[in-house]
Amino acid sequence: LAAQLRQILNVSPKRLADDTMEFFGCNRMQWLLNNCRRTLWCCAALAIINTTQRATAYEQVVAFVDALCAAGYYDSAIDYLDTLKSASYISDDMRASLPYRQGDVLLRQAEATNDAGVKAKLLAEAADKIRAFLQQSPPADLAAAATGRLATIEVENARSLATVARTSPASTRDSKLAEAREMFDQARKQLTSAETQFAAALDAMPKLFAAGEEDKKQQKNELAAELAKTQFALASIDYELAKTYEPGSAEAKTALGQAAERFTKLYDQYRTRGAGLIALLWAGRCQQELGDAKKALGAYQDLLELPGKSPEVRSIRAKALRQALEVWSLPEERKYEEAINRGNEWLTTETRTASNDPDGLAIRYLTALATQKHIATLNRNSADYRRGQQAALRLAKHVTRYPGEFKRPAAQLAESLGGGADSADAEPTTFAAARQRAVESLERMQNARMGRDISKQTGEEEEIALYDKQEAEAKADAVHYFKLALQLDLAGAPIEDVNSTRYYVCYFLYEGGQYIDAAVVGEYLARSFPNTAEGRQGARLAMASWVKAYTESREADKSFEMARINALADLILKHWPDQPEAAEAAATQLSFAIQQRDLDKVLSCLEQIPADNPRRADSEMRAGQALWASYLKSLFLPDEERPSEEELTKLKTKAFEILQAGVERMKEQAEGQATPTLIAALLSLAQINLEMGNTATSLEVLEDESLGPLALLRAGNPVVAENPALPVEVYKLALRAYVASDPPRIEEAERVMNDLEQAVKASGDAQASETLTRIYISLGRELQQQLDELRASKKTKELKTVSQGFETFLSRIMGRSAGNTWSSLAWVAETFFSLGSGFDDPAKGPSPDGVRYFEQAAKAYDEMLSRAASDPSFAPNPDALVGVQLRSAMCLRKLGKYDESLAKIASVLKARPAMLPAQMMGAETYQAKGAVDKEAYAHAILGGTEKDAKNQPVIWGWAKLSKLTMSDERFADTFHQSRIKMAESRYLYGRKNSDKAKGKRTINAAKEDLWITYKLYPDLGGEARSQEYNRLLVQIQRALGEKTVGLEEFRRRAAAANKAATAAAGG
Amino acid sequence: MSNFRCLLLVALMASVAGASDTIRVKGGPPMIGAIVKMSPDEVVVEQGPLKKNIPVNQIVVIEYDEDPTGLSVVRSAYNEARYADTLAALKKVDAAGVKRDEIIQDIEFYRAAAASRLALGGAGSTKDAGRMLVQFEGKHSGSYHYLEACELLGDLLVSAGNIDAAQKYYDKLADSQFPELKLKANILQARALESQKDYDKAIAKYDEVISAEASTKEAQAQQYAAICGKATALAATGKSDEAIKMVEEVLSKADAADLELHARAYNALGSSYRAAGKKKEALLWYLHTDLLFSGFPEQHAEALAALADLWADADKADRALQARSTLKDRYPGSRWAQNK
Repeated sequence: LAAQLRQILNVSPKRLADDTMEFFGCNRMQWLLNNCRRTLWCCAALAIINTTQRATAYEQVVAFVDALCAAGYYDSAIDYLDTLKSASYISDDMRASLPYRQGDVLLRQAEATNDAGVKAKLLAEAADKIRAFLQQSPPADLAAAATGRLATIEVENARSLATVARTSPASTRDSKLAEAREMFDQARKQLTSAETQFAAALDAMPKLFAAGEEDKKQQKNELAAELAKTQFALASIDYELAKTYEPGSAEAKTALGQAAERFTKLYDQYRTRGAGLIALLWAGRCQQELGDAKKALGAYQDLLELPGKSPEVRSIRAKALRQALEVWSLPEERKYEEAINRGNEWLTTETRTASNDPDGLAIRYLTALATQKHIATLNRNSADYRRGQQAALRLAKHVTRYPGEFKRPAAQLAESLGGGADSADAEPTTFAAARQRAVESLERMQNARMGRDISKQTGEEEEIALYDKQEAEAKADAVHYFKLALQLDLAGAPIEDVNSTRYYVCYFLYEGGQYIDAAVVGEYLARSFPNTAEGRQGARLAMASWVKAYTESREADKSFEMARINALADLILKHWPDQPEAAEAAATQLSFAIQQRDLDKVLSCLEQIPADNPRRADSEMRAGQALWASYLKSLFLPDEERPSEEELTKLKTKAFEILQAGVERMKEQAEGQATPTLIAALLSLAQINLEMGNTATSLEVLEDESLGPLALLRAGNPVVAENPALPVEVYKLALRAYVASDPPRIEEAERVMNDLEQAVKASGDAQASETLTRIYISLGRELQQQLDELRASKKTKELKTVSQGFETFLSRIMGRSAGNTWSSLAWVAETFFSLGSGFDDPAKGPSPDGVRYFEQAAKAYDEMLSRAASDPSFAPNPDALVGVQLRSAMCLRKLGKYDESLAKIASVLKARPAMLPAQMMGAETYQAKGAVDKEAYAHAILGGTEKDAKNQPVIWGWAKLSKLTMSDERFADTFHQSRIKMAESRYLYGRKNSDKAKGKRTINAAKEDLWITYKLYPDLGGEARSQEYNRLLVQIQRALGEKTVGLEEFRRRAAAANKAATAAAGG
Repeated sequence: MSNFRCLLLVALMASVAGASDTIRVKGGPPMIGAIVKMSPDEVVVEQGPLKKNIPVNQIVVIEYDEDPTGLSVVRSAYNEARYADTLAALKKVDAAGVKRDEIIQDIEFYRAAAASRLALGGAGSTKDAGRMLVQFEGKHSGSYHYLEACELLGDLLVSAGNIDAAQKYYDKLADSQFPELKLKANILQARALESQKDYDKAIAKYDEVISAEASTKEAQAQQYAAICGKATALAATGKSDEAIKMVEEVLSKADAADLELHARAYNALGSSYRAAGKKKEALLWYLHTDLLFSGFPEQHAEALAALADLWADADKADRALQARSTLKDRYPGSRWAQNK
C-alpha cells in the first residue's frame, strides 16, 4: 500500500497521460542515476543544482532525493542531504528541513526492506531524526509533515507487531494484537493532528503565484500531497485494524466499513489525482473483503476504463484487473469467461516486463485459475477442454518460474492440471524457485528473531525456545535452498539474483565456520563483480574468512593464507580505496606485516588508513611498537650486523613519532575520557620514554592529572583501578621511573613499592607472596633490559644515573630493620643481579661496578637462604628455595667462583637430577670455567666431575642434554641450545690447544657437530636459533681459514649430496 | 457476459486451434506457424503465405500443436538439465495416440538423450542409453535433434573407450554448416585423445580450434573451451605455468553468464596448480566449481574427485569424506568416481 501510494500520489491523470515537461527534471535525474557511477552521483547532482537557478533548487532537491530513493540508493540520498548542510544555493527553510528529509529517507528505506531487524533499526533512526527536527520548532507545514511521518513509523511498528502476533502461540497472540491496535490508535491521533495542521497550512497559502515564486508553488503542491498522504494513511489504519481481528468478525467488518468509507471520501476529494485513483482501488478492495462484489467490481470497472497509456495508468489498471479477476472467479459470481477474456486480453497487450511483475504474475495465475474453473464445466473429452487445459497449464507453469506469492498456488494448479513435476512441496527444480524458498526461509528466520527479541523483553522462556527452534529450522532451510539454487540451471537468471544468492551462500559458509569455502565465494564475487554491492560485501567476508582460516590453521607454515590475505587486501585497496573496507584491509595487512617484521609494508599500510578512520590510532600504536621492537632488536645485534647509528636513530625517531601520533589520536577519540585502550597507549608511551632515557617525560605522562595512568590509579578511577592487569604495570613503571630520576625520587619510589604490595594483597590473591615475587623478578628483568638498551645506545650518563638510583634504593630496602619479606628480598637480589649484568661483558667479565652488584646480589640471596633455614615458613615453597640456590650459584659464577657455583648446582641436582634449567646452568658454568681452565670445556660437553650413585656425572653436560631432548618436540629449543653450546665448547677447546694441528682437528669436529645437526634438522629450530648457528659457524670458518659464508656452506653441501643421491638412484 | 466478450473468447480459442507449432528461438519472440520441413540444419515454418527458414543452432525448443499432455514438462526438464525428471515426466506422457512423426521423434530423442546424459554423468547404463541413441540416429536422420544425438553418441563411445567409433559421429558435427559445431567436433576429438593420455595429439586438435576464425559468440565460447582443454593437457605434460597463464586469460575475457566455461576454466586451473605441486591453490580453484558452478555434472564430478584428494592432503579428513560421498551419491557411475 505504501509503495503504491509513493508511486503515484502526486501525479494527476493529466500529467500521467501527457508526460509533460514538468517530468523532465525527474527524468534527467533518472538518467543521471542510470548512467553515472554511484560514487559520482552526489557530485554530479550538486553540479547540476549549482548551475540551475536558486528558484528551482527546492524542486531539484526534492526530485533528486525522490529519484535516489526510487532507485533504492537510500544511503546516497542521506549522504547527499548531508552535503546540503553547507551548500550556499539552498534556502534556509530547506536547510532547516534537512533532518526531517533524512528521517523521511530512512522511513522509505525501512518500508523497502524485508529484514525485520534492519527495518526496526531504520525506523528507530528515522524517528530520532524527525523528533530532533520537531524540537527545533519548524514551520507549521513541515511540523505537520514530520508529525505525519512519526505516525507512519508508529503504523509500521504496529504492523510489524501484528505480523509477529499472527505467528505467536495462542497464549500471547491476543495480547500482542491488542497492543498493535493501541499503537494503531496512537498513530491515528498523530495523523489526525497532522491532517488538521496540513489543512490549516494549505489554507494559509495564496491561491495564485507570481512568476519567480516557483519554490512557493512547489511547496504548496508538496503540502497538498502531504495532506492527501495523511488522509490516505488514516484510511489505511482502519484497514490494518481490520486485519488484527478474526476475519469475518463484527470488529473486522466494522473496521473494513470505516476504511471503505474513508477511501471513498478520499476518492471523491481527489478524483483527478493519482491518490484518488489508488483510494478507489482500496475502497473496492475493502468492499470485496466485506463480500460486496457488486460495489467492488464497480470501483474496479471505473479504474479499468481509465484512458491513457502512461506506465502509471497501466499500473493502476493492472491492479484493478487483478482485483476484478478475483471477484469474477468467486463461486458466487462464476464469471469465468469474463475473467478469461479480460485476463488474456491484458496479457496479449501488455509488455513482457509488465506481465512478469507481481501484478502481471497475479493476472496470469488468476486467469489460469478462471480457465480451470471454466473447463470444469465442459466435456472432458472435448477439444475445448483440452485446449483450455493446455492454456491454463501454460499460464500456471509460467508463474511457477518466478518468485512471489503466486508461485506455490500456481505450482499446485499446474499439478492439478496434469503438469506433474512441479508440486508445491517438491524440491525446487529451478533457480528462481529455489531462491524464492530460500528468501522465504530468511524471512521466517528474521521474523523468528524479531519474535524472540520481543519475548526476551517480557522474559517468556517458552516462547524464546519456540522462536529459537523456528529460527534454527528456517536458517537450515535458507542455507539448503540458497546452495541448491546455485546447483540448478542459472541460464537466464538475473545476475543480481545469482550474485545475491552467492553472497548469502558465502555468508552462511562463513557463519558455519567453513572459512576457506566462504573465502572462495566471497573472493570470486569481489574479483568478478567489483562494481556491485555483492562484490564489495564479498570482499569483506572473504577477508574475514581468510583471517579466520589463518588463525585456525594448525600448520606451522601459514604463508599460503598470508599471501591470500595480502592479495585480497591489495584488491580491496584497489577497488574500494575510499570505503571503510579499505581501512580494514590495510589494518589487517599491517598486523601481518608486523608479524613478518616487514617494516616497509607496515609503514605503507599505515598510510592507507585514513586519519579519521577509527582503526588508525590503534594501528599507529601497533606500528609504533613494532618499529620500537625492531629498533631494540637491531640495537642488540653483533657489531658486524648492527645498522649504522644514523639508521638506528631514524628507526627510533620514526617509532616514537608514530606512537606519539597514535596516542594523540586516541586522546582525541576518547574526548578526554579515560578508556582502557587509551591508558594502555599512554603506559606504552611512558615506558618507551623511560627506556629511551627520557625519565622526566615518562613521569609527566604517568602523573598527568587528567589522563596520567598513575594519577588516575591513585584517584581510584575505575578504568585503571578496577582493571585486573593495569595497576601492577602502572606501579612497576612508576617505581622504575622514580628510581631512575636524576636525582632519584626515593621517597616516592618507596611509596609506590608499598602501594604495589598493598594492591597485590588487596586483590585477594591466595598466593599473594608468590605473585609479588614474580612481579619483582619481572621488574628486575625490565630494569636489566633498560640498562642494556642504555648501554647499547651509549647513554653512559643515563646508565650511571639509573644504576646508582637503584643501588641507593635497594640498599635502603635491604637495610631496613623491619618489613622485608621473601618477595622484597627476592626483588633486591634480582635487581642487584640485573644491575651487575648491566656491567658484565660476555668476553671480559664484569667491571668493578658489576662485581660490586653481583656481590650485593649474592649477599641478598644468602640472606634469603639463611632466613629460610631458620624459619621454614619464610620461603613460600620448596621450589622457590631451589630457585634462589641457583640464582646464588649464578652470582658465584659471575664473580669467577666457579667451583663454589658448581657445588651449589650439583647439590640441587642430586635431589632433582632431571631439572633441565639446573643441568643447563651446570654445563654453562663448566663452559664459563673453560676460560681459565681449558679442561672444563670437556666437562661442559661430557659431564662434570661429581658422580651420582651409578657413577654417572651429576652435571650431565651438553652431549647428554642434547641426546635426551632430541626426540621430544617440547624440548626442541633446549636441544638446539645444547647442540650450539656443545659445538661452541669444542671450538673454544680447540682454540685453546697449543698444538695447532690438534686444535684444528677439534675445531673441525665442532663444525661436524653443526653439520650433523643441519642434516637432521635443516630449519635449525627456527630463525633465531639459525642465526646463532650461523654466527658460530662463521667463527669456526674464520678459525679454519675458510670462506666465512656461514650456513650457506651447509646448504650447498646438502644440495650436492641430494644431486649425487638422485644420480645414483637413476643410475 | 456481453456478446462481444463471448465472441472474443471464441476467437481466442479458435486462434489457439489454428496456431499450430511454436518454435522458441534464442533471444527472440517465439515463432508460431506450421512446420513444413525439417533437417539437421534447419526447420521451415509456414506462417500464412510466408515461409521462414530457421537454423537449428538458433532453436531452443519446438512445441507442436498436437503435443500430448505432459510433453512440455519433459522439454523444460531436459532444457534445465534435469535428466532424471525428464525420464520421470516421459513416463506420464500418453504416446499411444500420437500420430505426428515429429512428436514421436521428440519423445524418442528426449528418452535417449536424457538416459545418455545421465549415463555420462555416471548414473545409469551406458549400453542401454547407447542403444536408444543408435536407434534414434538410424531412424530419424532428418530430425533437428540429429546433430545433438551424434554428439552424445560420440561422447558415450569415448566414455566406453572406443575413440575410433566416436570419431565417426564427431565428424558429422564437423560436417555441419555451423562454425561452432565444427569447432566443437574438434574439441570433442581432442578430449577423446586426452582421455587416452595422447596429449600431443590432443593439444594439436585444441590448437586447430584456437587458431580458427571465430566470428560468432558461440564460436568464441568454443575457443575458450579449447584453451581450457589445452591447458589441462599442457599441465599434464609438465607445462603448468603456461597452462595457468592461458586459463587466467580466458577467465579475464569470459562472459560472466557462461557458467559452463567457468566450471571448465576453474577445473583447468585446479588441475594445472595440482600438476605443479601447489595443492592449496589447486584446492581453491576446484572449490570454485564445487561451490559456484556445480550445475554441470561432468565438471562438478571432476572437481569433487580432486577435492576428495586435496582435502585429505590438507589434513581435513571430514571434508575429503564429504567430497567423496557427494561424488559417489550424485555421480555414482562417473569416471571420476572410479577408485574413489
